[in-house]
Amino acid sequence: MSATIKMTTKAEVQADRTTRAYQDFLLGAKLFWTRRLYQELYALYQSRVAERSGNAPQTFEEAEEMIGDSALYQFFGWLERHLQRLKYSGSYGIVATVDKQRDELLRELEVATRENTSHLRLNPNIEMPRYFAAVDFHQHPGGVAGDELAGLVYEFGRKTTTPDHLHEDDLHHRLAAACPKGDFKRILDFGCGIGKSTYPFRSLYPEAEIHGVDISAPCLKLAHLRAQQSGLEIFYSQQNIEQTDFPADHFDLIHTTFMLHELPVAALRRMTAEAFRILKKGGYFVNLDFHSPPGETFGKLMHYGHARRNNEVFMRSFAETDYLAMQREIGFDPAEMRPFDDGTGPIADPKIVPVHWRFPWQLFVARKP
Amino acid sequence: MKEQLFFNDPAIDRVMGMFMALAAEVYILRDRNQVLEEMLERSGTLQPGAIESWQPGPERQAELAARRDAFIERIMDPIIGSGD
Repeated sequence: MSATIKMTTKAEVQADRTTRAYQDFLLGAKLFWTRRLYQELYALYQSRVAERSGNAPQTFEEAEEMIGDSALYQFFGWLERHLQRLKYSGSYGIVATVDKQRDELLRELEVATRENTSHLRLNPNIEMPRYFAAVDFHQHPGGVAGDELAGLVYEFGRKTTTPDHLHEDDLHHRLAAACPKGDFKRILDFGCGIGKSTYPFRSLYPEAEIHGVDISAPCLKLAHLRAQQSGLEIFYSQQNIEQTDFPADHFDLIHTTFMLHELPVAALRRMTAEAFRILKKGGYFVNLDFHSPPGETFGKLMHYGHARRNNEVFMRSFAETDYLAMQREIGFDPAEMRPFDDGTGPIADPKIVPVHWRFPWQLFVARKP
Repeated sequence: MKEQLFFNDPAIDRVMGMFMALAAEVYILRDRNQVLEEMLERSGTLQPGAIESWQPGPERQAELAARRDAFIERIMDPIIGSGD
């Protein structure tokens, strides 16, 4: 493996005391929401079901109709949407913080982009799919490719959504550890974003060629910079995951991290077929994502409600898609889904409502026969 | 994207926005004050308990009262609707 250049550029967003106190305040409010408010809401939900002689709602719409007029649900919804919005767009939000250091950060990113160029392939003419360009996913203003510093905004934002006791990169190590093992020569991170999900595979497979693909140039530039800072040899390229320029039967393992739920169903199918094409026979396709919320209709109320309130436009259609059936139609065999432990414990029983609000983490593992 | 509304009366959505912004400002001030007090105590500039036992003189008291009244007026004035 050729040595990579160690970078001296930092490209670190500096948050002042005020911003840190503000973000800490939002985190405190969010924790109150995920615990206390969520529990109160579930208690209210149960009492409304009891009032209907135990006739529990069967759909998200029915559940929302049953509980939607309550002040509690209205506060719950307001806080879910706006605490996230304020994190980015508030007066001491991440966007304002990054903006204050715009010139310096841009310069550092550009320096990194010109270094070690064989490891960063950008395509300025790439066409952004409408479903990608039109959505401020999870209320990130302008989305993850709308601004040259979007990668840094995303990186900063991740730190504030990780459970207290964990490091924000912990999840990516957990995914790498949960993937099937083998004598892998080439590994691809599909929709790699800022690269945090790519790095653990580098250390796990020191002999393998490690690739990351994403459609967002700002994210890839940051991924490239961070990889070089850590002396990690990774090949990043800007491509649409629905149709890449990789040859057929090329990779031993392709993995995705919270990406499936960002795609409309038609794009999901095309992306999955593309992964199938470029995987070697016997290669694995592994996806960490949100599916099958536990807790029956209350689980749906939380998950689909979150999707709407947090601009996760395709999260519901993904949750309603039988993704394993889609994978099998494309040719994967076997294809299975199992609960994933993000550090707060895996979903224990799909029928039971979790004690705190949580994402329904699932691990999809499929193999190209 | 169109802003989402959550309350029966959309005015409450906006008031909640004001409320959260104010609460955040209060938290930021508390945080800063606490840091400041700790640093002053550690450097010996401020004696522990000095803030609690501080008593303003009559002149200072009058100044503080005037400041309080101005603060209240700024906050309560919109209720009167004189800006309409």
